[in-house]
Amino acid sequence: MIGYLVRRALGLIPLLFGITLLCFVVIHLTPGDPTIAGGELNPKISLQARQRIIEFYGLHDPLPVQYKRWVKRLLTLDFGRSLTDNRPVMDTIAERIPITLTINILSMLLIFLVALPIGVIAAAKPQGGFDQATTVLVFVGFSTPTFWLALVLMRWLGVQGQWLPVSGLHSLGYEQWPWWQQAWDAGRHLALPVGVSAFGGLAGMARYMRGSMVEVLQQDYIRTARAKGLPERLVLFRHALRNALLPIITILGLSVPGLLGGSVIFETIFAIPGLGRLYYDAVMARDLMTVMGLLTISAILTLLGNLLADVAYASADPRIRVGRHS
Amino acid sequence: MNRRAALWWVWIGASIVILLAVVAVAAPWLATHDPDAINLPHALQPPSTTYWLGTDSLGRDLYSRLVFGSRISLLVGIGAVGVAILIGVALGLIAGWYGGWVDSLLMRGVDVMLCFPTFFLLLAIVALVGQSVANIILVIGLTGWMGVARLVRAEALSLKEREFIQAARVLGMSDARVMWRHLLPNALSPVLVSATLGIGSAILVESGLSFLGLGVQPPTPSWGNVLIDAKGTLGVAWWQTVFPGATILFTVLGFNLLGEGLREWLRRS
Amino acid sequence: MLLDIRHLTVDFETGTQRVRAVNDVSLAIERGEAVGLVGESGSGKTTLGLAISRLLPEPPARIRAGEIEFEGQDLLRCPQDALYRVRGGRIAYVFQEPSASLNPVMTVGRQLVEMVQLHTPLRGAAARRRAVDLLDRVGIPAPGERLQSFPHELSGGMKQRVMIAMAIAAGPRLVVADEPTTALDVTLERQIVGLLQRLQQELGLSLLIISHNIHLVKRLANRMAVMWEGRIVEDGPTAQVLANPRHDYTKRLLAAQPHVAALDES
Repeated sequence: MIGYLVRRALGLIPLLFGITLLCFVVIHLTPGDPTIAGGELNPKISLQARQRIIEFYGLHDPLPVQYKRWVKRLLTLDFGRSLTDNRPVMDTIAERIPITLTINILSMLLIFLVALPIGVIAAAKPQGGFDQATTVLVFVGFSTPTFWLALVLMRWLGVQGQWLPVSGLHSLGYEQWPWWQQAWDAGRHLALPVGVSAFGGLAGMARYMRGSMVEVLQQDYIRTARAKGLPERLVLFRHALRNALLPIITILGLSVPGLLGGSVIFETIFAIPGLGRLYYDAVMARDLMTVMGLLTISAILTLLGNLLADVAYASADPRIRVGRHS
Repeated sequence: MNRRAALWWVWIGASIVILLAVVAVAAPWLATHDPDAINLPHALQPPSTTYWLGTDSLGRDLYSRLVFGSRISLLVGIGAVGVAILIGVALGLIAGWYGGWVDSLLMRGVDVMLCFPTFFLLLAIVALVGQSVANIILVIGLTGWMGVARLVRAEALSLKEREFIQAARVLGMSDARVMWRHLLPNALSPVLVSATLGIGSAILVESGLSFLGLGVQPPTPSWGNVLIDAKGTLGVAWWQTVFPGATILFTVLGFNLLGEGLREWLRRS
Repeated sequence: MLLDIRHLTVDFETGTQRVRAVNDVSLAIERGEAVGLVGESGSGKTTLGLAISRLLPEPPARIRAGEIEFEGQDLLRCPQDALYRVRGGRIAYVFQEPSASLNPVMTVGRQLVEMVQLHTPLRGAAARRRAVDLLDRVGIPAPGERLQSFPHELSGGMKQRVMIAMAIAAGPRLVVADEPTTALDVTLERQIVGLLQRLQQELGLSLLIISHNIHLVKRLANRMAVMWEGRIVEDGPTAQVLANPRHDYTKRLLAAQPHVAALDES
């Protein structure tokens, strides 16, 4: 298993290379850049800002030199200083990672708790009433713009209904409360963001779970389990489920980019100080240092997510964990 | 789902899509007011017989804005998917046909692109190159070709070894011709499904971008940017929130139904 | 009579098509008898075998008519939990593909112990001892260690032995073996055949051997039934059927296997 993981990790190196290359290309879209023929001048970026960008990335130097400098900086996670508040970009990012991470983990948990049982039950009786109803809901879920859902919930649950707070992470005067009240307050503030974030992934996950389960239920070993006289309930949950969950682990690992992208929307709407909001503010202010930093970090986080999923998969699937001895 | 059910989905989806096309084309005749006409005394009116879906903070008729917004949605949807298909089919064919290091390189490229959140890339590039509709179409297409490429590559790989392809090569057909006349038609069905679903997805992306202020700029109405005003008037003007979003949902649902219905129907043919 | 199938008819319905897989079939198996069910693929023999324990997926399969009486119980109409007790406990199965028939994420021991705990009062360490015992009985070396193995770590022959161990774990009266050696090579086939013969004698089992392989049936079964297009066209003592086939199809089937009459193994 260690061998397997080492090989997977090594396989990520070309990806890292590609990521640095892509980011490198993106930064060269900066207007006024002499290396791009006819780079037009974007009035939103001040002359001074442009100077700093050019200086930091060495855009006047020959390309190979630029690239070498870029990679060297990456190894120390040096993304320069933000154009808006002059703090090191990496510091701001590091501050915000826990918040976005928390929300995304909670939302993944919610997806797990809701979508998985739905998928399992739908698969148990394919084409049955529950399955068909689920399919309809999944389709509606796929077609719903999450930012609209956020607005709707915000209005009817927050502004109108006053049940849940609609902005920020905690209420005023938060610091003086006892810990359990703080926790309750934090929970109330997180309810809508986590809910909206999870909604995006719910439909997809329910569908994948159903598909995976249906496929597993067609396997021979399920027939063996039934032939042994196991009640259907045990066949489903003891034999089928574990096998059906394996590909789901991989899918979860692949969901990092989707979650990060989605966080732009709900963090902006609900005024959550996370990575998505940081990215949005940076883009609106044309703070290219922060933008490039976040872009790169997001790709690295994706790679980490994939690696984590591989680790989880390898430990869950004995065919990989134990290897072949026969 | 059997074939008959799949056909139902295709019909319902197609009806919605056709409705969208009709509305987009006939917008000037279907709208009741000039979508850009500012009319401050009538700002924030609830739905009435004059203003079917109400008005926004500048007194513009929401219904007419949504009707004209359909043009943007359709344009961006089809345009972006067109770009994505062009790139994806080309790269997929090349990767699948030539195999070897070309294939590895291209597929690595796909993997690299998939490491970035689409929205992050979109926002960054749009912010850097400017916010025109053409740019938006290009950028959404540029971030969405990966799925098609993989599909087409898979088809190319499996068809490559089939006899009629071998026959064509033995007869001296050039690679490009074989790809164009033999591989492509067979890969058409999954590409068609992907394109249909892609249009729905592109509409969602465009509306999200416009809502964030980095898509289609007001005053040009887009289903996404009319929701900007909705956010500001959340408590007082419920019609501004409900109708544009419902329109997006309904339209994207149509494309999804059509796409999935096609997929199931084609699978059983 | 242990098992009495009377006028069984099974259809498969997919969307608009309906296929009659088993057509008015009657078959009886006595205590301790080994019956072979022979036919080509598509003849309905596997469907018949699975129908006995109602293991057929009920859409698309539908049992249209008939009775299946096992030890006095009507299996087609008995309640669900009675059926669960019969499955594995009284009627056990051995399937064709041992690699696909074992759950890949569970140890062999766990799957075997599960069977023991399901149908016997044994628990915990006693159940595990029984499992080791069973593995030993089917000829698996180092059975104690084998409990921790996962299916993919075993060879095809060993996996099939494990399947057989699972089948006899609860002391069933009837074992239905559907193409038990088709996925194995000839040497392994002989070993598995020898094992099945030995177990049948030691445990007084009834066997239903379903196979397209007449050699196999000849070696294991004292009675042979021939199935063709959902019907049983021939049914009698093996030697007699082989020597004097009455039905046209049986004659053709035997003619296609040239060495059957020449073989004289016991």
